[in-house]
Amino acid sequence: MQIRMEEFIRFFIEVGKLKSTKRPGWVLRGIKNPETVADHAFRVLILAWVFGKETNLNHRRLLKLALVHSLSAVYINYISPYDKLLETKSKKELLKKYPALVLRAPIGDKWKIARQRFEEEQRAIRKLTQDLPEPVRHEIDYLWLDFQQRTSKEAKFLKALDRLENLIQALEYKDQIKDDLLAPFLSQIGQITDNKRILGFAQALCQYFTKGEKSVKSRKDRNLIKFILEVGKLKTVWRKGWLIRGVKNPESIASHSFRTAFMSWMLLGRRRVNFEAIIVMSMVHDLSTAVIGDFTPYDKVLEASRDKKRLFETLPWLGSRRGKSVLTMERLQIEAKGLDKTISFLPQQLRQKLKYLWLEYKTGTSREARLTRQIDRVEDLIQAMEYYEGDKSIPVKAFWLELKELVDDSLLAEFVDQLDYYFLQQSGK
Amino acid sequence: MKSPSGRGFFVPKENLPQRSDMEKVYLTHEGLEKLKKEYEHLTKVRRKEVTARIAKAREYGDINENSEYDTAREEQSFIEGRVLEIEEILRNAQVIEQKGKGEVVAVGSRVKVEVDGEEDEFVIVSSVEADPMQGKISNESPVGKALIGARAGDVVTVSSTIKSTYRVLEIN
Repeated sequence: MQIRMEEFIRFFIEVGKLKSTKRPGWVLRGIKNPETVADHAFRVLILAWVFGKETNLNHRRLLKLALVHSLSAVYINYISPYDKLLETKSKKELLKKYPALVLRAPIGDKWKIARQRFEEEQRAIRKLTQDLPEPVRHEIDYLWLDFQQRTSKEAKFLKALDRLENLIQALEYKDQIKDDLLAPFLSQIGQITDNKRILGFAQALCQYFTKGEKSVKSRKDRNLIKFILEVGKLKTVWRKGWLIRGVKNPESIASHSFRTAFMSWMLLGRRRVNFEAIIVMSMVHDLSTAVIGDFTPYDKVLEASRDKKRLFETLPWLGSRRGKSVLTMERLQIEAKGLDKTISFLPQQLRQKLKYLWLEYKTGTSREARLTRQIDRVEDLIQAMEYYEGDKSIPVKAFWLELKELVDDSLLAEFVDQLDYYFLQQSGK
Repeated sequence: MKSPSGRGFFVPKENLPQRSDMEKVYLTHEGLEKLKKEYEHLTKVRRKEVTARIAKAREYGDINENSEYDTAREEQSFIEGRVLEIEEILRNAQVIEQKGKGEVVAVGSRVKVEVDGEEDEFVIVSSVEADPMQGKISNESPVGKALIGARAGDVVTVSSTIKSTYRVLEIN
C-alpha cells in the first residue's frame, strides 16, 4: 500500500511541472512572462464547465477531459501543431518572415507530422502514468486518447474549447502579438469544429477585442466574455503565501487551482461524492482573488512582526477562539464581495450554482467541501516542499503543523503520513 | 487504504457494501442548534420557495428551453441533498455535555494549550463542525486524536518528522 501512495505523490509532482512550464507558442512569439500550461488548462476547465452546461453532453467526462488534455506537456512541449516543420535554427526569424508558414505545410507532411507527434505524446502519457494503479492509469490514458482522436462527442467539444481558450489568450496578448499572427488562432477553430455555438462565440470574441464590447450584439455572449476575462486574471495573480516566504516566480492562483482540481479527482473521485461539486469547488475556491488579490492568514500580523522566520514557523491562526471566529467571518465577507464581483457577468443559473458551491466550500457545510478543503492544503504542502527542495531557506514547518490540525479523513491523513515519509524521512532528504 | 474487499486504493470503507451503521456524530450544543436552525429554514422556507418557483417556471411553457425552470430544479436538488445530509447527522447526533471545568479533554472541550511556546485556544468538535481557522479542531485529526484524554498539565506530541508539542493549560 505504501508503494502505491508514493506513486501518486510522484505523479502529482510530475503534473505540478505544468505550473512552471511556459507555453512555448507564446515564448516563440515574444510574449513576456507568458502563461503556463497549467494556467491554460485551468481556464479550459472553467470553459468546460460553463459551456458544457449549455449542452446535453456528459459533464463529468468533459471536466475530466479538461484535466487530462494537456498532461503530455509534462515531458513534451511543442510549439504548435506545425512545430516539426520549423526545425530550423531560428524559428523566430522564420516565423517573423513567413507567419503563414505555420498553416501551410504540404498535405503529405501534415499527416506525417501529426502521426509522429501523436506517437511522441502517447509515449509521454504512458511514461507519466506507468506506475499508477491499473484503473487510474487506464482511465487517464483512455481519456487522453479520446481527446487526441476525438472519438467521443465530449472530446470533440473539448478540443474546440481548448482552441477557444488559445484564441482568448491570444487576444489578451494582442498588444504584444502582430496582427498577422493572430489570424491562425481563429482559423484553427474553424478547422477543428463545426459547432455553431463555439464558432459564433469565437466571432463575438474577435469583435469584442477589435471593435469594442458594444459591437457584440448578444448580451449573453458579451457578459460571458467579461466573465472569462475576469477568470483569466487568475493566471497573473501570484500566490502571496509564496511571495512573503521569499519564493521567486511563484505559481499563479490559476495553476494552484488546476492541480487542486486534479488531485481532488484523483484522491476523491472514486468515493461516494458529488464529482462536479469537488471539481467546481477546487477550481473556484480562490476565484475572488481576481478582484481583491491574494491574501494570507499572516497578513494581519506580518507588518508588526520582527522575526518573520519565526512567524512562518508557527500556525497563522494562534490565539483566542473568539478572535479566530471573528477574523474568519470578516475575511469571508470580503471574499464574498470579491466573488460576487468576479462572477457578476455569469448567467444567473451558473452564478447561483457557483456561489452555492463556493459558500459550501468556505463554510465547510458538506462532506465534499470539507474533503476538498483538505485537498487544497495538501496541494499547498506538496508545493511548499517542491519550493523547499529548490531553496532550503523557505520555511515549511507551518504547512505540516496545519495539516495535523486540519486533515481528519483517514485516507488523506495516511496520505499526509506518506508525504512525510517521502519528503522528510527518505534517505538523502 | 486497507480495503477488505481488495478493491484497492482510495476507496474508503464507507463505500463498501457491508457498511455498518453510521458512527455517532458528536456535536456541541451550539453546533446542534445551528444545524437544527438550518434544517428548519431549508424545510419550511427554502423548500416552499423553490417549489413555488418551479410551478411558476412551468407556466412559462416548454420546460426544455426554460432556464428558470432548470435553475429552480438545480436549487431544489441542492436543498434536498443538504436536507438529507442534515437528517443523517441529526439521526446520529449526540450532544456533548459541557460540565464546567473538565478533567480530561473530550469532544466538546474548550482547550487552552501552548503550542511550541505560543498560546492557542480551540474547541474539539466532530468532523462535521471542524474548521481550524475558526478554532474548531476535528476529533479525528491527528491533533484532536492526540489531545483526547489528556489532562491539564499534560504534554502531547503529535508524532511525525516535524514534531509539534501541545501542553494542555486549561480544559473547559
